[in-house]
Amino acid sequence: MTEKAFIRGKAVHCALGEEVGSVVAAMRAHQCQTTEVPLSLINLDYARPYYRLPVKDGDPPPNSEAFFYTVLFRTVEKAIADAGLQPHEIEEMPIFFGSTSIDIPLYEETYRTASNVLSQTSSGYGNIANEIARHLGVKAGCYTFTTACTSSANGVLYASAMMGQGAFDRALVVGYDLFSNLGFYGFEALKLIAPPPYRPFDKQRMGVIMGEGCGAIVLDRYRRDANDFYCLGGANACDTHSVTTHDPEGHAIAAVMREALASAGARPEEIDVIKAHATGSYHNDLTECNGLKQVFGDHLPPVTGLKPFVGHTVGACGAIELVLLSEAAKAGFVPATLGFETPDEELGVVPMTDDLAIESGTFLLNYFGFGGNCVSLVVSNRD
Amino acid sequence: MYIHNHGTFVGRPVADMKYYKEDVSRYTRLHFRRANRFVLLSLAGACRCAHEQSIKKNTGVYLTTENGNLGDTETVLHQIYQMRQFPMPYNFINTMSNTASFYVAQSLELLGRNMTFSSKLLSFERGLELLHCDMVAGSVNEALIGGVDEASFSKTQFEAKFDRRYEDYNMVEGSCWLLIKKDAERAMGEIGVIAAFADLGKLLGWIGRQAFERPVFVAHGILVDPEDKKAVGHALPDATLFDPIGDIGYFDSAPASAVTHFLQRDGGACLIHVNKDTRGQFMVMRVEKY
Repeated sequence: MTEKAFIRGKAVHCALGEEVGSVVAAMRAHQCQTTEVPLSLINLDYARPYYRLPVKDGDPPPNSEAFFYTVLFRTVEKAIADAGLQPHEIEEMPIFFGSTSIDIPLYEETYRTASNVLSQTSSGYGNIANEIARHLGVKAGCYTFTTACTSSANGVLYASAMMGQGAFDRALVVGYDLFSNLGFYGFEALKLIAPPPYRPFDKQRMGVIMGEGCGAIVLDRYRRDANDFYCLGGANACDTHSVTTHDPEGHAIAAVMREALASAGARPEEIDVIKAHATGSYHNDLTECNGLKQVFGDHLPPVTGLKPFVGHTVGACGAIELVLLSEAAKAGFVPATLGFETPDEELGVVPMTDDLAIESGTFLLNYFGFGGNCVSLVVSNRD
Repeated sequence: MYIHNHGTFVGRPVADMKYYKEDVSRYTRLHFRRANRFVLLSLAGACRCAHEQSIKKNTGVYLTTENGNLGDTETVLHQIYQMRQFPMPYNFINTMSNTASFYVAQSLELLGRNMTFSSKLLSFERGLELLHCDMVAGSVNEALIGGVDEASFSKTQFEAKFDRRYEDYNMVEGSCWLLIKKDAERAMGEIGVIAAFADLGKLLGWIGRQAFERPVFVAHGILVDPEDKKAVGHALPDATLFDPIGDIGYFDSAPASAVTHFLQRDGGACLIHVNKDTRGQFMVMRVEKY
């Protein structure tokens, strides 16, 4: 990149709340909250945990179209207000939207009484980004990424790369995935959902706990505050091992981390903290740790995983976890991996068990998904 | 961005999936037992494009689509809501449309960038922008980029989406791909320009500044109005109208289809493809065929 892409504005709506300050405070207090969701749609008498969004008085009911757009528009409006954008800046700002479920939550309730609703009424994957554009009065382009759990990480990757090449002065990146029965029952069908507590990298880890949320980031060519983070580089690559799991040796994951570091002009020893993808599934954690050991060898920086705070927010995790990590660091810490207790010798990686005091640094963020999609980002707030 | 090959698989939908599996098996030895229509469509176009080409392992895959994997999404929702059972795992995994770009990469053993991407009615054009960004950055030197969509069978949806009469179109489905390289050597053509315009006036201004060395063909996206077409026609008085939607049929990746069908023509020529989205934004692709 020739120009930097600074995080000028941000907002997040997740299981810990919808104000960045209170979410960061909750992370510092090591809070998390899951809800038990019954599998009653298919007449089963048990429930599974999920990190649901808190609903405020006066909000539309969850699972409604009004709720979908309320959460989305409120979050992007907060990010824009935080960035202090002028109307003409908003108008010229392209939108990079990433999601796994896209608009499926809008249609699911109708399936209780009807069939083929999506194929009869959906306006396509690009529609939600277009709705954001209409709502904000954006006249620039809309880019929608649907690469499973790396979706909004790819949005950050391309928004910062195109800005780095001078294509525009600022961009809005949005990661959004609300609860959908398709995702919830689908993950349970794959036997991937774990009971609480969520414990990535732990010897007793039992899988994923899903979450819903929205993260919005305004990237800008110009720095506003001295400690604002900027995107130094990143990479995307495909691991063709399997559609559901990555090569357990971690070669593809190591390759994407190395490419990200090279694009950022950073050496492994310059990384202060790694935000691992850390889904908590047996295979994913093993693969990621093998990849980390290939890149960093015996000099692995502190590693943390953020999913125990907000759940695995699938396609939204790229934007959400970038906001959580960078805002926690600006508040003086990187949180420990909540829920971790017992090291797993097979992994050979022990994540942070205590918060790390840090105010500035260069961070590597990993995101991996179904379909072999691998993304690593490098961000920094050092000059 | 130089075009080194193209591959096209477009036609009326066939109900029997065996038809697609047999087609794809001509190009790849991998077995796609659990692949669905969208995956097989993707492979049918991409494998044709890559066939007998020298393709490096770090070649990127950029799959652009308007609707992605509708079929399996409907199946999974039906399994949950009507049959009241867990979705079949592979139906569920196939609801994620990037499984198609994964299978393209796996079948061709490509480890580079892998993107599944959409941009309401401008997916192929915006996908080319992403590829251009990666090529400028040096992270990609070769790529397969395609537009893939199943046919629309919903009259209601089609007419609500486009404000066009469903009966006026022959509905097809397809998968149209380009092999793009940074290297010009032995190229058959190039993507000259991909540009967005806020309104028709700005588009016409751009057209007025273009110089052409080859015969010009002009093609339009589905939302380009008759008045827009007339204005573009005045700005390009010597251009020949190229109408792949009328000649071949419509599916939501029609802009990709316009490019690959243009490349099938004999002789050198230039294609100006004008597209328009629901927000009234125009995008143009200028494609040169040597």
